[in-house]
Amino acid sequence: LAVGLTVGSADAAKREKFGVDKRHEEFKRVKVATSSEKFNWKMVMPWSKGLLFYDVAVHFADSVRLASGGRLDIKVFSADELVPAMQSFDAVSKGSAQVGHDWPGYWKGKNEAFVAYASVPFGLDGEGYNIWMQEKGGTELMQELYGQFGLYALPGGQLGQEMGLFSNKRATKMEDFKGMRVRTVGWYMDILNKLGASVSPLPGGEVYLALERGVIDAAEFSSPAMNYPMGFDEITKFAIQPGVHQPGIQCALFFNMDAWNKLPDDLKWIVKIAAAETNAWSYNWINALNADAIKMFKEKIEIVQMDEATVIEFRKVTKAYVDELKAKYPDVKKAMDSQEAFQEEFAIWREARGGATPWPYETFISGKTHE
Amino acid sequence: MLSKIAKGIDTFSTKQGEFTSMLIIPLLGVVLYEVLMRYGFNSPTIWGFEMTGFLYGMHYMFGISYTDVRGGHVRVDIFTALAPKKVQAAIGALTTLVLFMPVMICMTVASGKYAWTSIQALERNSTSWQPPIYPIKMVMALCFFFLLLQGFSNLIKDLQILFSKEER
Amino acid sequence: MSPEIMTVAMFASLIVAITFGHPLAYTLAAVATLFGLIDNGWNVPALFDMFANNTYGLMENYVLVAIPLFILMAQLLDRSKVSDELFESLYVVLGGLKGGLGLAVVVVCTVFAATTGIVGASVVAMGLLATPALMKKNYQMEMSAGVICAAGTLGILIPPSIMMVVYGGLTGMKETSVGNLFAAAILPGLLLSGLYFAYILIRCNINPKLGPPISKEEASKYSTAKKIMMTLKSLIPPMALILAVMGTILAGVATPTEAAALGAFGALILAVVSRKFSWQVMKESAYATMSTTAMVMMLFVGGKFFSTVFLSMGGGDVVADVLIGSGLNRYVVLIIMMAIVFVMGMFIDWAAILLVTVPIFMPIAMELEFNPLWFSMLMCVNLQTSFLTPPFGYALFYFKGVAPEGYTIGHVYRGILPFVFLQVLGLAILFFFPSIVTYLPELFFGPS
Ligand code: NA
Ligand code: NA
Repeated sequence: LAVGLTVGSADAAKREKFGVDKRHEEFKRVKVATSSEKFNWKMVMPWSKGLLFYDVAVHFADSVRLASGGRLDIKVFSADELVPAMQSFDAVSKGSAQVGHDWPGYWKGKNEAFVAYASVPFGLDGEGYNIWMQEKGGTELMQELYGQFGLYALPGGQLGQEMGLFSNKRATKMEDFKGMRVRTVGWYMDILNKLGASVSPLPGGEVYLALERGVIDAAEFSSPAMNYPMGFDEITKFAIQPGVHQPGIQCALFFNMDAWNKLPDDLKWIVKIAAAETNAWSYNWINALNADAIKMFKEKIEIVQMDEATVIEFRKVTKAYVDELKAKYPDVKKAMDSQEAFQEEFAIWREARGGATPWPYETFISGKTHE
Repeated sequence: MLSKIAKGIDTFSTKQGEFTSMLIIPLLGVVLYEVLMRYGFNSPTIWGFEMTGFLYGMHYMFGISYTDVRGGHVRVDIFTALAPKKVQAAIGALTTLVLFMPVMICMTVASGKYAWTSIQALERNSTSWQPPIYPIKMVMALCFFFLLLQGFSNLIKDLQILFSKEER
Repeated sequence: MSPEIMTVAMFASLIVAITFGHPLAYTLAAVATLFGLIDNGWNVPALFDMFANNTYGLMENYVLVAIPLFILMAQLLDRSKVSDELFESLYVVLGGLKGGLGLAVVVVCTVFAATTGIVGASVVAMGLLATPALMKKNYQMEMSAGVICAAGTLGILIPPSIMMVVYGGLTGMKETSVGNLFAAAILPGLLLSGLYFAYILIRCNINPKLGPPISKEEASKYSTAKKIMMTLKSLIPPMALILAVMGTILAGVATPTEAAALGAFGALILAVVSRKFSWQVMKESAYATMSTTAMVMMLFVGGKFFSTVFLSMGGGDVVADVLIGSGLNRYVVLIIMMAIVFVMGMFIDWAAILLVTVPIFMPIAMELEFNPLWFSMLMCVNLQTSFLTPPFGYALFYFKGVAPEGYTIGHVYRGILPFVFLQVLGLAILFFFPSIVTYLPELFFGPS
């Protein structure tokens, strides 16, 4: 800003560049040396090999190895190879592995605020997380939280919106959800319970059979591309849209602080750049696949939209629920206040740019100009 | 003296195992209740699955020292079974010292530290019910300690056979 | 040390270490510790923090909850003596045939295999009940031992089965979920049962001295109608239990884990109805359940440490590189994997083999594009065989433990050999006809 003012004073009428790349400002006079020490790291995660999340983690490890010419070699272990899925956090925190990949919401039991960096019902979407994390202090807040556990963290994958419930009951109106037996987890479980559904946090491995045999009526798992191999479309009739419970799946990479501090500067930068590259790549990759997956789902099941009044009711209950959490947990309040402030700030641009949704020509001229 | 300690440990392992073996009853009860509530009354609990998991986890952890004192841990003793009793005792003492003790001492310490981290954070499960999980981690540390104790008892008993006057 | 040398050294150390007769679970943990420390540069806290993580992970593994429940079910069932009645009816129904009592053992064991998830119970129950009857009728001792051991181990294959629970919990794949494994194991279990049946019938008809029929008068003690009634009546309890377990899974009432609880509850009711229940019985069942559960789970813990360290030091890649990178035909690779499991089965307990080999072999099978369910079922039949293969075969020890005076381990070893051959034959049939494995899962749960 100071730079802008001094140069700007020459001609008050003319405006200068509006933004600044902070990294360039900081490093334009810094010499970077190539280190020679070689590091072998282990990476753990809650993902089995069949999940696309695993591929996102592998992408990061590959990027680091390629960019560092093998000086930082990260060996990837899927869930249960080194430690059980839900123990990845502790394993990295204690140094049994140097790096982990996650969906931060899994660590809700350690601090409720982790969910805010993962996905919030009716919260930030992919674009929102990307901007909030990079420009609005989201990453710093996240690093503060992971820092409480001896970890350094970076955004490590933005996988866009999830799809709604796979269901054998057609549900579009509020009363359809009353008494519906649903499998989901986390904040959304409490929200659906408040809305009158009977929600069960069935363990992931039991979902398919439970849904197939009618133990439950409906279940959500993840985004279309993630869900496709699970074959839920073989055993259900409807997909109830939209996936309001997770408008944007944010993943994180987290590093054992000692291991991170031992890295020379050039490798630290390689890691940071590879993380950013993974975050960007994953969004494009998954969303291209999502479209293909939804197309195939549509051949088997009916895609049903909740009606507007119902979605609004869901939104209201969610707001009340999140406010309760904010009152209870200071770290949740810090994160959610920041996210909500960003949502407010950004609304003016969202409003102004609306109506140019890149629908196909025929769709657009039929009058459907908004998403 | 030593044989009294060994006997005391054995009795303790047996009694605590017999007592905690009853965890199977609430375990059975909770699972049946969950099925009944979900299938019969369409109102599954939010705590059933986790409760089941905790009961099962504690059940088997409490069982490890009990199973040891009962000689229930499977072993490949087809080679050693033929040896004279003193040789068997010598091998038993040696394997307990070399294979068992270092691992179980470290496991007791590590699981103690693991529980302590959890206690300090009053850690809860990452679920809707969010029960505290530090008590479960404490049970884990405690049970490794019980197993370690049982190992000491086994060592004492083997050494006593080894150094007894009786010719066998 | 290179991963190749470490891999070989780790397995070699395990083989040497187990011969000392120390409990297998602790031995696995000790070998894992040694190699884990070599691998991570003697960082003791890091290794044991990882082990603590792994142990806690097992403590909250929901799928494994079925293990104590299935064991409890078997304990209660064993004490309510419901298998006695079925054997007594079949004694007169089938006894008149050459080898008929052997056939009765096969039928009883097959029926009860569908109600119990473990092996010990059937072998012990039949060993106590049928062996004296078989000896009295001059059945060849080897033949008697063989049929009881082999048929008694069907319990671990025919669902419900804790082996499938462990397997499903280990892979965490949809294709090899416990429900799928249960469905897939039904026909292979019946196939083996059929092989035993045919073998006894053929052998005893060729050489009636092996299994002479019971006398005409003993066989005609009851009228045909009466015999049929007796048999049907004695089939009611096991059928009720089969319904409680497999029925509730298929009807959508319960998940496989919950079905285990329903089965245990059913066995409890049976014990009450048959007036065999008392607080003493409950206590003894609880004690035995805890002991068996902790035995399996401690092996799980030790096996987990072993496979964790093995994978951590790159051993999985080494084995995969050797097996896949060698350019061998994929079926040859499969046969090699099966042979490894078979040979391990001669010395090590099934759970330890499963826990050590599945994390290494399953990815290889996936990479070679074998049907995961079919591959898993070959593994399971192979592991059932491990109960029977000398020198270290559980079923053989159980049988020897309860067999009447005069039985030596030699009789048992000789008696089991033809049945081990039948196991290998069964495995070969499954190898050539994969639909025996995949037919029922597809019928019940749709094509995967
Ligand atoms: Na069975
Ligand atoms: Na064997």
